[in-house]
Amino acid sequence: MFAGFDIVLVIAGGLLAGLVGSLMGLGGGIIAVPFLNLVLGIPMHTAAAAGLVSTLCVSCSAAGRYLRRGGMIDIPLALRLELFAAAGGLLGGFLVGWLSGSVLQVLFGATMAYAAIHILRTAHQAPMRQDVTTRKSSWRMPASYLLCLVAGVMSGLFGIGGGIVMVPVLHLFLSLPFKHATATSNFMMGLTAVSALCGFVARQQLDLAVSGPLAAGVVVGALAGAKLMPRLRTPLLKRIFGIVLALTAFEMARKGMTSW
Amino acid sequence: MLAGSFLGAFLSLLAVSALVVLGADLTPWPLGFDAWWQGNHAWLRFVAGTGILLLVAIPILMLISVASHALRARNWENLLVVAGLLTILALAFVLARFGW
Repeated sequence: MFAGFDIVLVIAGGLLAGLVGSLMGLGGGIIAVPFLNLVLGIPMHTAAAAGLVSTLCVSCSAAGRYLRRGGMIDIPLALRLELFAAAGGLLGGFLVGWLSGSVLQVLFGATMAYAAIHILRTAHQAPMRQDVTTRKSSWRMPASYLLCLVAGVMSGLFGIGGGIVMVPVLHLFLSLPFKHATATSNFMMGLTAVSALCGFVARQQLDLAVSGPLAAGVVVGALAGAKLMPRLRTPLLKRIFGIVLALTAFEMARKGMTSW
Repeated sequence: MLAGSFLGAFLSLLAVSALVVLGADLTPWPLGFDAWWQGNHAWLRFVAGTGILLLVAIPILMLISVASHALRARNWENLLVVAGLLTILALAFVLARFGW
């Protein structure tokens, strides 16, 4: 039976996911899913569905802020790329039904390891350029569509936002300024999460007792993260988070392999 | 949008907390297309589910708002892409409701 203490733990997990996610520019799912699965023992599929709800919360709060500022989100580009990300999310959300929890744990561990490497590599980079002209040459757009499809599938499979793929695509591939790339990715993540969630709802894996408290924690955590951001030393935080993420990735993959 | 996500998340949290205080059995309690609010304390269950559905509705409403802007600006290209996106979301909904 779901008890009061469990709710407090889920809220705490949501707070952590929202706080760290907003400090690191992630959707929060990459923290919420392992927390629910490894710490609270919630089945992987249910944890992934809750991760998508946490992604929705972060996207709704962040994209709203960016839309109000105006000019931060490249809407025409986001809409075109989102066509593929949403299709990927739909595909991933249904495909995950065919994967066992242990296979999902191993794949999630690999994705977390990639995210950890990416975060550790960028921890000490100088602030990224903000004045680059967007490049949409003939081969870049089709390649970006394909990568967004992959990000969508990952989002549907693991309950993450897919920002770890979308932001590099928008910034490095299409040369969108970094802040604009993050804002555009935030706008896209919510729609991808909605299309991915349908598969989980069909299989009755979106647990309301987990998703509600997690969502509340994430919303508050994300807000606190946005307020704390200017006062914190981001490179140090990124290094610590990257190491924690790498260790969690290892534990997730190990657990998946032992129960294969 | 921020207010909407706060409202959805906290509606759901308050209803789940009230159900726990009232000693309702919440495992398993999936959100589905059938009557997910059925069981004891149906109103609280309904509110918890509505909170999550509100979160799901926000990006769709955002998309509809983009479509209305595109329509007013007679930006047919953006309008066509939004229509494509809404079709994908509708397809996801239909597949979830009637099977893969």
